[in-house]
Amino acid sequence: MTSSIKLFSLGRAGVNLLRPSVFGVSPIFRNYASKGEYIIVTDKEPCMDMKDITDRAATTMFALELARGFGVTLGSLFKEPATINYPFEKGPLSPRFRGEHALRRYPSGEERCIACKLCEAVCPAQAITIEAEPREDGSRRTTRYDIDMTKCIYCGFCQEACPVDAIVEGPNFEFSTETHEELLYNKEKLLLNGDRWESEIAANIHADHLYR
Amino acid sequence: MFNLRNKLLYSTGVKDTISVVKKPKSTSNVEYCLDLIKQYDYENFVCTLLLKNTARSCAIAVRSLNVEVAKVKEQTSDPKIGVMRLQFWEETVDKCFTKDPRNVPQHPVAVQLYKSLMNSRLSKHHFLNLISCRKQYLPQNYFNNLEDLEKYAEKSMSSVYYLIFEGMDIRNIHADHAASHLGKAQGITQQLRIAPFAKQLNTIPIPQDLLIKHNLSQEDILRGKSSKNLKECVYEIASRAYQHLMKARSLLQKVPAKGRDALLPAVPVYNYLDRLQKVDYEILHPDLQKKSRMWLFHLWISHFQNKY
Repeated sequence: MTSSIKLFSLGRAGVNLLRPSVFGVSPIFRNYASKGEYIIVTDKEPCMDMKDITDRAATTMFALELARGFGVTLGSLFKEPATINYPFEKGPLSPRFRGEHALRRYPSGEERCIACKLCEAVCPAQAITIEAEPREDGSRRTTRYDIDMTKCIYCGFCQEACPVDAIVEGPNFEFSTETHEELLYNKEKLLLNGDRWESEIAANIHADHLYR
Repeated sequence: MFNLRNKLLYSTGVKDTISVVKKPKSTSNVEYCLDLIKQYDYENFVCTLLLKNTARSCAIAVRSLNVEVAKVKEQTSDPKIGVMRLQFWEETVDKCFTKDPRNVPQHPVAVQLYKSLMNSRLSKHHFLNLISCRKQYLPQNYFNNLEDLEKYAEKSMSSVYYLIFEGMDIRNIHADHAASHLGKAQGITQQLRIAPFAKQLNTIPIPQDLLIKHNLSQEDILRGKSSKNLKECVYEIASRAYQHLMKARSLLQKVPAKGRDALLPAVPVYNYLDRLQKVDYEILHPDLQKKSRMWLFHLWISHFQNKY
Protein backbone atom coordinates (compact mmCIF):
# COMPACT_ATOMS: atom_id res chain seq x y z
CA MET A 1 0.00 0.00 0.00
CA THR A 2 2.61 2.50 1.02
CA SER A 3 4.91 1.51 -1.80
CA SER A 4 2.23 2.10 -4.38
CA ILE A 5 1.53 5.57 -3.04
CA LYS A 6 5.19 6.32 -3.22
CA LEU A 7 5.42 5.13 -6.79
CA PHE A 8 2.41 7.28 -7.72
CA SER A 9 3.83 10.40 -6.15
CA LEU A 10 7.17 9.78 -7.80
CA GLY A 11 5.46 9.49 -11.15
CA ARG A 12 3.71 12.78 -10.66
CA ALA A 13 6.87 14.44 -9.52
CA GLY A 14 8.69 13.03 -12.52
CA VAL A 15 6.24 14.56 -14.92
CA ASN A 16 6.51 17.88 -13.18
CA LEU A 17 10.24 17.70 -13.41
CA LEU A 18 10.21 16.81 -17.09
CA ARG A 19 7.70 19.38 -18.25
CA PRO A 20 9.73 22.58 -18.26
CA SER A 21 12.55 20.90 -20.15
CA VAL A 22 10.14 19.65 -22.84
CA PHE A 23 8.69 23.08 -23.38
CA GLY A 24 12.09 24.61 -23.18
CA VAL A 25 13.39 22.72 -26.18
CA SER A 26 10.33 23.25 -28.36
CA PRO A 27 11.31 25.75 -31.07
CA ILE A 28 7.68 26.39 -32.04
CA PHE A 29 6.76 27.54 -28.61
CA ARG A 30 9.69 29.90 -28.53
CA ASN A 31 8.77 31.43 -31.90
CA TYR A 32 5.28 32.26 -30.77
CA ALA A 33 6.49 33.70 -27.54
CA SER A 34 9.01 35.92 -29.25
CA LYS A 35 6.39 37.54 -31.51
CA GLY A 36 4.48 38.69 -28.46
CA GLU A 37 1.02 38.45 -30.05
CA TYR A 38 -1.44 37.26 -27.43
CA ILE A 39 -5.19 36.91 -27.67
CA ILE A 40 -7.08 37.38 -24.43
CA VAL A 41 -9.49 34.48 -24.08
CA THR A 42 -10.58 35.01 -20.49
CA ASP A 43 -13.72 36.94 -19.50
CA LYS A 44 -13.35 40.68 -19.32
CA GLU A 45 -12.60 42.17 -15.92
CA PRO A 46 -15.79 43.55 -14.37
CA CYS A 47 -15.93 47.30 -14.49
CA MET A 48 -15.20 48.83 -11.12
CA ASP A 49 -17.10 52.11 -11.50
CA MET A 50 -19.34 52.96 -8.59
CA LYS A 51 -22.46 52.85 -10.80
CA ASP A 52 -21.70 49.38 -12.21
CA ILE A 53 -20.90 48.00 -8.80
CA THR A 54 -24.25 49.26 -7.52
CA ASP A 55 -26.10 47.71 -10.50
CA ARG A 56 -24.49 44.34 -9.94
CA ALA A 57 -25.26 44.39 -6.28
CA ALA A 58 -28.89 45.28 -6.94
CA THR A 59 -29.25 42.44 -9.49
CA THR A 60 -27.91 39.93 -7.01
CA MET A 61 -29.94 41.22 -4.10
CA PHE A 62 -33.25 41.33 -5.87
CA ALA A 63 -32.57 37.90 -7.48
CA LEU A 64 -33.48 38.97 -11.02
CA GLU A 65 -32.89 35.51 -12.58
CA LEU A 66 -35.15 33.86 -10.04
CA ALA A 67 -37.90 36.37 -10.74
CA ARG A 68 -37.56 35.79 -14.49
CA GLY A 69 -37.81 32.05 -14.01
CA PHE A 70 -41.00 32.43 -12.01
CA GLY A 71 -42.30 34.74 -14.71
CA VAL A 72 -41.87 32.04 -17.37
CA THR A 73 -43.65 29.52 -15.16
CA LEU A 74 -46.50 31.88 -14.53
CA GLY A 75 -46.76 32.70 -18.23
CA SER A 76 -47.07 29.07 -19.29
CA LEU A 77 -49.85 28.59 -16.76
CA PHE A 78 -52.04 30.76 -18.97
CA LYS A 79 -50.89 29.25 -22.26
CA GLU A 80 -52.64 26.47 -24.15
CA PRO A 81 -50.98 23.18 -23.17
CA ALA A 82 -48.59 21.68 -25.71
CA THR A 83 -49.73 18.17 -24.86
CA ILE A 84 -53.04 16.48 -25.61
CA ASN A 85 -55.16 14.29 -23.38
CA TYR A 86 -54.34 11.25 -25.52
CA PRO A 87 -56.90 8.50 -25.32
CA PHE A 88 -59.66 11.11 -25.47
CA GLU A 89 -57.99 13.53 -27.87
CA LYS A 90 -56.15 12.49 -31.02
CA GLY A 91 -53.41 14.35 -32.83
CA PRO A 92 -53.64 15.21 -36.53
CA LEU A 93 -53.10 12.34 -38.96
CA SER A 94 -51.99 12.49 -42.58
CA PRO A 95 -54.44 11.02 -45.09
CA ARG A 96 -51.52 8.94 -46.29
CA PHE A 97 -51.08 7.41 -42.85
CA ARG A 98 -50.63 3.67 -43.09
CA GLY A 99 -52.22 1.94 -40.13
CA GLU A 100 -54.36 -1.14 -39.62
CA HIS A 101 -55.43 -2.98 -42.76
CA ALA A 102 -58.98 -3.18 -43.98
CA LEU A 103 -60.79 -4.84 -46.87
CA ARG A 104 -63.30 -2.51 -48.49
CA ARG A 105 -66.67 -3.18 -50.03
CA TYR A 106 -68.52 -1.54 -52.89
CA PRO A 107 -71.43 0.71 -51.93
CA SER A 108 -73.68 -2.18 -52.97
CA GLY A 109 -72.23 -4.28 -50.15
CA GLU A 110 -70.28 -6.64 -52.41
CA GLU A 111 -66.66 -7.12 -51.38
CA ARG A 112 -64.13 -5.53 -53.70
CA CYS A 113 -61.38 -8.11 -53.62
CA ILE A 114 -61.30 -10.25 -56.76
CA ALA A 115 -58.40 -12.46 -55.66
CA CYS A 116 -55.89 -11.22 -58.23
CA LYS A 117 -53.15 -11.89 -55.63
CA LEU A 118 -51.11 -8.83 -56.61
CA CYS A 119 -50.87 -7.79 -52.94
CA GLU A 120 -49.61 -11.24 -52.00
CA ALA A 121 -46.99 -11.04 -54.75
CA VAL A 122 -45.79 -7.56 -53.91
CA CYS A 123 -45.66 -7.93 -50.11
CA PRO A 124 -41.96 -7.74 -49.17
CA ALA A 125 -42.56 -9.32 -45.76
CA GLN A 126 -44.75 -12.10 -47.20
CA ALA A 127 -47.37 -11.35 -44.58
CA ILE A 128 -50.37 -11.94 -46.87
CA THR A 129 -51.79 -15.36 -47.68
CA ILE A 130 -54.62 -15.75 -50.18
CA GLU A 131 -56.58 -18.74 -51.36
CA ALA A 132 -59.27 -18.32 -53.98
CA GLU A 133 -61.88 -20.26 -55.89
CA PRO A 134 -64.87 -19.31 -58.06
CA ARG A 135 -68.11 -18.74 -56.18
CA GLU A 136 -71.47 -20.28 -57.12
CA ASP A 137 -72.35 -17.26 -59.27
CA GLY A 138 -69.11 -17.71 -61.23
CA SER A 139 -67.23 -14.70 -59.84
CA ARG A 140 -63.76 -15.30 -58.52
CA ARG A 141 -63.41 -14.50 -54.80
CA THR A 142 -61.06 -15.25 -51.95
CA THR A 143 -61.88 -18.07 -49.58
CA ARG A 144 -59.03 -17.12 -47.33
CA TYR A 145 -57.35 -13.75 -46.90
CA ASP A 146 -54.93 -13.71 -43.98
CA ILE A 147 -52.53 -10.99 -42.92
CA ASP A 148 -49.96 -11.63 -40.24
CA MET A 149 -49.87 -8.20 -38.63
CA THR A 150 -46.70 -9.12 -36.76
CA LYS A 151 -44.88 -9.77 -40.02
CA CYS A 152 -46.26 -6.70 -41.79
CA ILE A 153 -43.85 -3.80 -42.14
CA TYR A 154 -46.57 -1.27 -43.08
CA CYS A 155 -44.90 -0.28 -46.36
CA GLY A 156 -48.28 0.20 -48.06
CA PHE A 157 -47.29 -1.73 -51.19
CA CYS A 158 -50.39 -3.93 -50.96
CA GLN A 159 -52.57 -0.84 -51.08
CA GLU A 160 -50.61 0.54 -54.03
CA ALA A 161 -50.70 -2.72 -55.95
CA CYS A 162 -54.42 -3.37 -55.51
CA PRO A 163 -56.10 -2.55 -58.86
CA VAL A 164 -59.59 -2.45 -57.32
CA ASP A 165 -58.68 -0.49 -54.15
CA ALA A 166 -59.82 -3.39 -51.98
CA ILE A 167 -57.03 -3.71 -49.44
CA VAL A 168 -56.15 -0.41 -47.78
CA GLU A 169 -54.13 0.65 -44.79
CA GLY A 170 -56.61 2.68 -42.82
CA PRO A 171 -56.08 5.46 -40.29
CA ASN A 172 -56.43 3.20 -37.22
CA PHE A 173 -53.25 2.80 -35.20
CA GLU A 174 -54.77 1.57 -31.94
CA PHE A 175 -55.04 -2.17 -32.43
CA SER A 176 -52.59 -3.53 -29.91
CA THR A 177 -53.50 -6.88 -28.40
CA GLU A 178 -52.35 -9.04 -25.53
CA THR A 179 -51.60 -12.16 -27.54
CA HIS A 180 -49.85 -12.88 -30.79
CA GLU A 181 -52.76 -14.91 -32.16
CA GLU A 182 -55.08 -11.91 -32.10
CA LEU A 183 -52.81 -10.16 -34.59
CA LEU A 184 -53.18 -12.90 -37.21
CA TYR A 185 -56.05 -11.26 -39.10
CA ASN A 186 -58.42 -13.26 -41.25
CA LYS A 187 -60.85 -12.15 -43.92
CA GLU A 188 -63.78 -11.57 -41.56
CA LYS A 189 -61.73 -9.30 -39.32
CA LEU A 190 -60.40 -7.35 -42.32
CA LEU A 191 -63.87 -6.87 -43.82
CA LEU A 192 -65.15 -5.77 -40.41
CA ASN A 193 -62.38 -3.19 -40.26
CA GLY A 194 -63.40 -2.01 -43.71
CA ASP A 195 -67.01 -1.52 -42.58
CA ARG A 196 -65.92 0.30 -39.44
CA TRP A 197 -63.50 2.69 -41.11
CA GLU A 198 -65.07 3.11 -44.56
CA SER A 199 -66.01 6.78 -44.17
CA GLU A 200 -62.52 7.79 -43.04
CA ILE A 201 -60.84 5.68 -45.73
CA ALA A 202 -63.07 7.15 -48.44
CA ALA A 203 -62.36 10.68 -47.20
CA ASN A 204 -58.62 10.09 -47.29
CA ILE A 205 -58.73 8.62 -50.77
CA HIS A 206 -60.76 11.59 -51.96
CA ALA A 207 -58.38 14.13 -50.46
CA ASP A 208 -55.48 12.51 -52.17
CA HIS A 209 -56.40 12.77 -55.81
CA LEU A 210 -55.71 14.83 -58.88
CA TYR A 211 -56.68 13.66 -62.29
CA ARG A 212 -54.42 13.73 -65.32
CA MET B 1 -55.94 24.94 -53.08
CA PHE B 2 -55.75 25.93 -49.46
CA ASN B 3 -58.66 23.71 -48.75
CA LEU B 4 -57.03 20.81 -50.53
CA ARG B 5 -53.75 21.28 -48.73
CA ASN B 6 -55.57 21.59 -45.46
CA LYS B 7 -57.29 18.33 -46.09
CA LEU B 8 -54.02 16.72 -47.09
CA LEU B 9 -52.22 17.76 -43.95
CA TYR B 10 -54.82 17.80 -41.27
CA SER B 11 -57.36 15.15 -41.83
CA THR B 12 -58.11 15.05 -38.12
CA GLY B 13 -60.38 13.07 -35.87
CA VAL B 14 -63.21 10.75 -36.65
CA LYS B 15 -66.03 13.25 -36.26
CA ASP B 16 -64.64 15.67 -38.84
CA THR B 17 -64.30 13.20 -41.64
CA ILE B 18 -67.71 11.67 -41.14
CA SER B 19 -69.37 15.03 -41.60
CA VAL B 20 -67.31 15.70 -44.76
CA VAL B 21 -68.16 12.49 -46.58
CA LYS B 22 -71.62 11.93 -47.88
CA LYS B 23 -72.47 8.30 -47.89
CA PRO B 24 -72.56 7.24 -51.53
CA LYS B 25 -75.88 5.81 -52.54
CA SER B 26 -74.78 4.25 -55.81
CA THR B 27 -75.34 0.55 -55.87
CA SER B 28 -75.33 -0.46 -59.53
CA ASN B 29 -72.27 -0.74 -61.71
CA VAL B 30 -73.20 2.23 -63.89
CA GLU B 31 -73.73 4.44 -60.86
CA TYR B 32 -70.36 3.43 -59.49
CA CYS B 33 -68.69 4.32 -62.80
CA LEU B 34 -70.53 7.64 -62.93
CA ASP B 35 -69.44 8.47 -59.38
CA LEU B 36 -65.89 7.63 -60.35
CA ILE B 37 -65.91 9.96 -63.36
CA LYS B 38 -67.68 12.66 -61.41
CA GLN B 39 -65.09 12.57 -58.70
CA TYR B 40 -61.96 12.46 -60.82
CA ASP B 41 -62.94 13.96 -64.15
CA TYR B 42 -65.78 16.38 -63.54
CA GLU B 43 -65.73 18.32 -66.81
CA ASN B 44 -65.83 15.22 -68.97
CA PHE B 45 -68.49 13.82 -66.66
CA VAL B 46 -70.81 16.71 -67.44
CA CYS B 47 -70.11 16.35 -71.18
CA THR B 48 -70.80 12.62 -70.96
CA LEU B 49 -74.22 13.30 -69.45
CA LEU B 50 -75.22 15.25 -72.55
CA LEU B 51 -74.74 12.23 -74.81
CA LYS B 52 -77.64 10.16 -76.09
CA ASN B 53 -78.53 6.86 -74.46
CA THR B 54 -76.49 4.23 -76.28
CA ALA B 55 -73.50 6.45 -76.72
CA ARG B 56 -73.64 7.45 -73.08
CA SER B 57 -73.24 3.96 -71.63
CA CYS B 58 -70.27 3.35 -73.92
CA ALA B 59 -68.76 6.72 -73.00
CA ILE B 60 -69.21 5.96 -69.31
CA ALA B 61 -67.36 2.66 -69.68
CA VAL B 62 -64.48 4.19 -71.64
CA ARG B 63 -64.16 7.24 -69.42
CA SER B 64 -64.21 5.24 -66.21
CA LEU B 65 -61.54 2.90 -67.54
CA ASN B 66 -59.55 5.99 -68.46
CA VAL B 67 -59.89 7.33 -64.92
CA GLU B 68 -58.79 4.01 -63.46
CA VAL B 69 -55.60 3.87 -65.51
CA ALA B 70 -54.89 7.59 -65.13
CA LYS B 71 -55.01 7.30 -61.34
CA VAL B 72 -52.32 4.63 -61.25
CA LYS B 73 -49.33 6.94 -61.45
CA GLU B 74 -50.19 9.03 -58.43
CA GLN B 75 -51.35 6.04 -56.41
CA THR B 76 -48.08 4.17 -56.68
CA SER B 77 -44.66 5.05 -55.34
CA ASP B 78 -42.78 2.51 -57.42
CA PRO B 79 -43.12 2.23 -61.24
CA LYS B 80 -43.03 -1.58 -61.00
CA ILE B 81 -46.14 -1.63 -58.81
CA GLY B 82 -47.80 0.72 -61.28
CA VAL B 83 -46.96 -1.68 -64.11
CA MET B 84 -48.63 -4.47 -62.13
CA ARG B 85 -51.84 -2.50 -61.88
CA LEU B 86 -51.80 -1.50 -65.54
CA GLN B 87 -51.12 -5.12 -66.46
CA PHE B 88 -54.28 -6.03 -64.57
CA TRP B 89 -56.28 -3.58 -66.67
CA GLU B 90 -54.66 -4.81 -69.87
CA GLU B 91 -55.67 -8.36 -68.98
CA THR B 92 -59.14 -7.15 -68.04
CA VAL B 93 -59.55 -5.62 -71.50
CA ASP B 94 -58.32 -8.87 -73.03
CA LYS B 95 -60.79 -10.86 -70.95
CA CYS B 96 -63.67 -8.56 -71.88
CA PHE B 97 -62.85 -9.11 -75.55
CA THR B 98 -63.16 -12.90 -75.10
CA LYS B 99 -66.92 -12.18 -74.78
CA ASP B 100 -67.24 -14.71 -71.99
CA PRO B 101 -68.89 -13.22 -68.89
CA ARG B 102 -67.23 -15.78 -66.62
CA ASN B 103 -63.81 -14.38 -67.50
CA VAL B 104 -64.67 -10.80 -66.65
CA PRO B 105 -63.39 -9.71 -63.22
CA GLN B 106 -66.18 -8.53 -60.91
CA HIS B 107 -65.20 -4.87 -60.99
CA PRO B 108 -67.89 -2.32 -61.92
CA VAL B 109 -65.69 -0.75 -64.59
CA ALA B 110 -64.84 -4.13 -66.10
CA VAL B 111 -68.47 -5.19 -66.11
CA GLN B 112 -69.54 -1.91 -67.70
CA LEU B 113 -66.82 -2.34 -70.30
CA TYR B 114 -68.02 -5.84 -71.06
CA LYS B 115 -71.59 -4.61 -71.48
CA SER B 116 -70.62 -1.87 -73.90
CA LEU B 117 -68.53 -4.37 -75.88
CA MET B 118 -71.62 -6.54 -76.21
CA ASN B 119 -73.64 -3.59 -77.54
CA SER B 120 -71.18 -2.08 -80.00
CA ARG B 121 -68.10 -2.92 -82.00
CA LEU B 122 -65.10 -1.24 -80.36
CA SER B 123 -61.46 -1.60 -81.41
CA LYS B 124 -59.17 -3.22 -78.93
CA HIS B 125 -56.08 -1.26 -79.93
CA HIS B 126 -57.61 2.03 -78.75
CA PHE B 127 -58.13 0.50 -75.31
CA LEU B 128 -54.60 -0.81 -75.29
CA ASN B 129 -53.33 2.64 -76.33
CA LEU B 130 -54.99 4.14 -73.26
CA ILE B 131 -53.05 1.74 -71.06
CA SER B 132 -49.75 1.53 -72.92
CA CYS B 133 -49.16 5.29 -72.95
CA ARG B 134 -49.64 5.35 -69.17
CA LYS B 135 -47.22 2.45 -68.87
CA GLN B 136 -44.66 4.27 -70.98
CA TYR B 137 -44.69 7.36 -68.77
CA LEU B 138 -44.77 5.55 -65.42
CA PRO B 139 -41.02 5.73 -64.73
CA GLN B 140 -40.62 9.16 -66.30
CA ASN B 141 -42.02 12.35 -64.83
CA TYR B 142 -41.33 14.68 -67.77
CA PHE B 143 -41.75 14.93 -71.53
CA ASN B 144 -38.76 15.35 -73.80
CA ASN B 145 -40.44 17.79 -76.16
CA LEU B 146 -43.79 19.16 -77.18
CA GLU B 147 -44.18 16.48 -79.85
CA ASP B 148 -43.86 13.75 -77.21
CA LEU B 149 -46.47 15.51 -75.14
CA GLU B 150 -48.74 15.64 -78.20
CA LYS B 151 -48.24 11.94 -78.81
CA TYR B 152 -49.09 11.19 -75.20
CA ALA B 153 -52.17 13.40 -75.40
CA GLU B 154 -53.21 11.75 -78.64
CA LYS B 155 -52.97 8.28 -77.11
CA SER B 156 -54.46 9.11 -73.73
CA MET B 157 -57.19 11.57 -74.74
CA SER B 158 -58.00 11.08 -78.43
CA SER B 159 -58.37 7.31 -78.00
CA VAL B 160 -61.31 8.02 -75.70
CA TYR B 161 -63.02 10.01 -78.46
CA TYR B 162 -62.30 7.38 -81.11
CA LEU B 163 -63.93 4.80 -78.85
CA ILE B 164 -66.94 6.99 -78.15
CA PHE B 165 -67.40 7.51 -81.90
CA GLU B 166 -67.22 3.77 -82.40
CA GLY B 167 -69.80 3.37 -79.67
CA MET B 168 -72.06 5.79 -81.57
CA ASP B 169 -71.37 3.74 -84.68
CA ILE B 170 -69.83 6.71 -86.47
CA ARG B 171 -66.93 5.65 -88.63
CA ASN B 172 -65.97 8.87 -90.33
CA ILE B 173 -62.48 10.03 -91.12
CA HIS B 174 -63.30 13.68 -90.43
CA ALA B 175 -64.80 12.85 -87.05
CA ASP B 176 -61.64 10.97 -86.13
CA HIS B 177 -59.52 13.85 -87.44
CA ALA B 178 -61.37 16.33 -85.25
CA ALA B 179 -61.13 13.94 -82.30
CA SER B 180 -57.39 13.64 -82.78
CA HIS B 181 -56.91 17.41 -82.65
CA LEU B 182 -59.30 17.87 -79.75
CA GLY B 183 -57.54 15.13 -77.80
CA LYS B 184 -54.20 16.82 -78.32
CA ALA B 185 -55.59 20.17 -77.24
CA GLN B 186 -57.16 18.62 -74.18
CA GLY B 187 -54.05 16.64 -73.26
CA ILE B 188 -51.78 19.66 -73.52
CA THR B 189 -54.24 21.78 -71.52
CA GLN B 190 -54.44 19.08 -68.87
CA GLN B 191 -50.67 19.24 -68.42
CA LEU B 192 -50.85 23.03 -68.04
CA ARG B 193 -53.59 22.66 -65.47
CA ILE B 194 -51.56 20.40 -63.21
CA ALA B 195 -48.61 22.82 -63.21
CA PRO B 196 -49.57 24.37 -59.82
CA PHE B 197 -49.58 20.86 -58.33
CA ALA B 198 -46.24 19.86 -59.89
CA LYS B 199 -44.58 19.41 -56.51
CA GLN B 200 -47.42 17.39 -55.09
CA LEU B 201 -47.59 15.07 -58.10
CA ASN B 202 -43.81 15.09 -58.60
CA THR B 203 -44.15 15.79 -62.30
CA ILE B 204 -42.77 18.35 -64.72
CA PRO B 205 -45.70 19.25 -66.94
CA ILE B 206 -43.64 21.47 -69.25
CA PRO B 207 -41.56 19.66 -71.89
CA GLN B 208 -37.82 19.51 -71.39
CA ASP B 209 -36.80 21.25 -74.64
CA LEU B 210 -39.02 24.25 -73.89
CA LEU B 211 -37.52 24.53 -70.42
CA ILE B 212 -34.07 24.67 -71.98
CA LYS B 213 -35.17 27.08 -74.68
CA HIS B 214 -36.59 29.51 -72.15
CA ASN B 215 -33.76 29.08 -69.69
CA LEU B 216 -35.89 27.54 -66.96
CA SER B 217 -35.01 24.74 -64.58
CA GLN B 218 -37.11 21.84 -63.35
CA GLU B 219 -36.59 23.27 -59.89
CA ASP B 220 -38.46 26.46 -60.89
CA ILE B 221 -41.47 24.43 -61.97
CA LEU B 222 -41.49 22.23 -58.87
CA ARG B 223 -41.16 25.23 -56.58
CA GLY B 224 -43.83 27.13 -58.49
CA LYS B 225 -41.63 30.14 -59.17
CA SER B 226 -43.35 32.45 -61.62
CA SER B 227 -41.18 34.41 -64.02
CA LYS B 228 -41.31 36.14 -67.38
CA ASN B 229 -39.61 33.15 -68.99
CA LEU B 230 -42.28 30.84 -67.63
CA LYS B 231 -44.98 33.05 -69.09
CA GLU B 232 -43.40 32.91 -72.55
CA CYS B 233 -43.00 29.17 -72.22
CA VAL B 234 -46.63 28.72 -71.19
CA TYR B 235 -47.70 31.00 -74.04
CA GLU B 236 -45.92 28.74 -76.52
CA ILE B 237 -47.57 25.60 -75.16
CA ALA B 238 -50.99 27.20 -74.83
CA SER B 239 -50.90 28.47 -78.39
CA ARG B 240 -50.14 24.96 -79.61
CA ALA B 241 -53.18 23.70 -77.70
CA TYR B 242 -55.23 26.57 -79.13
CA GLN B 243 -54.16 25.71 -82.69
CA HIS B 244 -55.29 22.13 -82.20
CA LEU B 245 -58.58 23.27 -80.73
CA MET B 246 -59.24 25.67 -83.63
CA LYS B 247 -58.33 22.97 -86.11
CA ALA B 248 -60.82 20.62 -84.45
CA ARG B 249 -63.50 23.32 -84.51
CA SER B 250 -62.82 24.14 -88.17
CA LEU B 251 -63.85 20.56 -89.03
CA LEU B 252 -67.29 21.15 -87.47
CA GLN B 253 -69.21 21.00 -90.77
CA LYS B 254 -67.57 17.75 -91.83
CA VAL B 255 -68.28 15.92 -88.57
CA PRO B 256 -71.64 14.09 -88.72
CA ALA B 257 -74.29 16.04 -86.84
CA LYS B 258 -75.19 13.24 -84.46
CA GLY B 259 -71.55 12.81 -83.43
CA ARG B 260 -70.83 16.41 -82.51
CA ASP B 261 -71.96 15.94 -78.91
CA ALA B 262 -69.05 13.59 -78.33
CA LEU B 263 -66.65 16.46 -78.93
CA LEU B 264 -68.31 18.78 -76.40
CA PRO B 265 -65.27 18.72 -74.04
CA ALA B 266 -63.86 21.31 -76.45
CA VAL B 267 -65.91 23.86 -74.48
CA PRO B 268 -64.13 23.45 -71.10
CA VAL B 269 -60.77 23.31 -72.91
CA TYR B 270 -61.55 26.59 -74.66
CA ASN B 271 -62.78 28.03 -71.37
CA TYR B 272 -59.50 27.23 -69.62
CA LEU B 273 -57.35 28.58 -72.45
CA ASP B 274 -59.45 31.71 -72.49
CA ARG B 275 -59.01 32.24 -68.76
CA LEU B 276 -55.30 31.57 -69.11
CA GLN B 277 -55.09 34.34 -71.68
CA LYS B 278 -57.01 36.71 -69.40
CA VAL B 279 -54.47 36.28 -66.61
CA ASP B 280 -51.68 36.90 -69.15
CA TYR B 281 -50.41 33.29 -69.18
CA GLU B 282 -49.59 33.46 -65.48
CA ILE B 283 -50.07 29.74 -64.99
CA LEU B 284 -49.89 29.87 -61.19
CA HIS B 285 -52.49 32.62 -60.95
CA PRO B 286 -55.01 31.81 -58.16
CA ASP B 287 -57.93 32.76 -60.44
CA LEU B 288 -57.17 29.75 -62.62
CA GLN B 289 -57.62 27.39 -59.71
CA LYS B 290 -61.02 28.75 -58.79
CA LYS B 291 -63.93 26.73 -60.04
CA SER B 292 -65.96 28.63 -62.59
CA ARG B 293 -69.51 27.72 -63.48
CA MET B 294 -69.89 29.82 -66.63
CA TRP B 295 -68.59 27.07 -68.89
CA LEU B 296 -71.60 24.94 -67.95
CA PHE B 297 -73.81 27.57 -69.57
CA HIS B 298 -71.59 27.73 -72.65
CA LEU B 299 -71.64 23.97 -72.78
CA TRP B 300 -75.41 23.88 -72.79
CA ILE B 301 -75.56 26.56 -75.51
CA SER B 302 -73.12 24.57 -77.66
CA HIS B 303 -75.11 21.43 -77.07
CA PHE B 304 -78.29 23.26 -78.02
CA GLN B 305 -76.77 24.64 -81.23
CA ASN B 306 -75.20 21.26 -81.98
CA LYS B 307 -71.72 22.74 -82.06
CA TYR B 308 -68.63 21.99 -80.02
